[in-house]
Formats: sequence, C-alpha cells, structure tokens
Amino acid sequence: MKIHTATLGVVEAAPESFLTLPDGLIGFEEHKEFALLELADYRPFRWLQSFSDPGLSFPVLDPHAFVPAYEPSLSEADRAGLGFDPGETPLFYAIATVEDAGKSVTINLRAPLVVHPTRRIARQVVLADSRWEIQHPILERARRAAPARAKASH
Amino acid sequence: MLVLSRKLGENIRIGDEIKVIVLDVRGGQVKLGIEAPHTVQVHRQEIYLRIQEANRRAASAPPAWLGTASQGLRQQGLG
Repeated sequence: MKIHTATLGVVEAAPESFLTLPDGLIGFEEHKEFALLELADYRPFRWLQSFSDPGLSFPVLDPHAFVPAYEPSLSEADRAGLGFDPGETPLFYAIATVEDAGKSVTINLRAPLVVHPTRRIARQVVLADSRWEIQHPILERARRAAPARAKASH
Repeated sequence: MLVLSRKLGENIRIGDEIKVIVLDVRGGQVKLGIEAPHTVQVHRQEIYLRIQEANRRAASAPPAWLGTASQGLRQQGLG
C-alpha cells in the first residue's frame, strides 16, 4: 500500500509495517494509525509515519543497539494493556530527537514505544524507573566549539 | 476547580473506576495511591510535559538532518 508522507514523498508500506497506537503518542493522542517504515538511506533510523497526517512522522531507533544494558521493566498493567500473554516478548523502540542539523541525536529511554509484534499494537509507555533518561545522548558533536568569549575584553 | 480536603487513609472516587488514596503526608509531601483501569494513563505532570516536548521535537526534525545523523551513526559503527 502506498502512503503519502510530507518528508519522504510517496512510499510503499507493507501491511506488516502497520501499527495501531490506541492512545496515540503523548501530546499526539489523536493520531492512532501508523506505519513503521525502513528506508535504506536513513538506516539505522526507522520512521513512525502517521496515516492520518502525511506531515507527522517520528524517527525511532532500536535502543539496544546503543544501550546494551537497557532493560525496561513493564508493569503488569502495561503488559495487559498491550495484550501480552505470559512468555510473549515485547519489541522496544526509542523515539529519537535529531538536532543541530543532524550532528546530535538523543533517544527517549524513559518513554519507549512498546510494540506487540504479532498483534501490531503499540503504546508509548512511561517507565517507572527514573534511571532511563528522556534525552539519552547517542550522537554528539565531536568537539563543542569553545565559547566565543574574548578574555582581553574584560 | 473542585477542592476537597482528605485525611490520611481517605480517598477520592473519580467516576466508577478511578480511586485516589492518601497514603502518607509528611514534610510538605503527599504520597498518593491511584487505582485506575490500564486504559487510563497516569503520569507525573512534569514527566508528562517533558515527554510531550521530546515527542514534539522528534517530530520536527527535517529529513536532511536525519540523513546527516544516520551517516554519523553508521560512521561510528552504531548503525
């Protein structure tokens, strides 16, 4: 199925990539139907693209590729909300914030997108564990420019 | 805004399914227990606002920036 995106043009989305977010994302509750797109040019990012709004998409990353020790713990209520049976394993994606013209990237480990891989239902879950940061840096400018402050002027 | 006074151990009902209990009051801090169906999301306000802001910023990155960032991550062997 072809879907229209403002950022990527018209892209082909396989039904296996569709995701329903019954609560939407925090601050974007009205958007519930998405496709999770993989495009070679943007690897390792994936795009969570809204069906209802071509202009709305979120870059996401596999958090374990960047933080191997990431062990998000879901409450029973969270598991029940996504329809997990005991023994079923959720998929986690971290929403990525790209700034500084692409030179800095942070990922949200505190509120990951939790996906039921077979039911294709997902929720943005706020973890109780404050160890996981909302803006965990994974790419930073190699060297920050020194503050442009002329000592001689004082 | 509805304003209610409650003592330790007392609770408030919101509709049929939500109950808020005062568990502890100590030194300017109130500990609340909240019982709600799992379809109702309960968050600390400041965390909720920070996540909302992070989502907004995530959604606003131009594709060109994503392209640069994806190259940066691949160069670091992270992709």
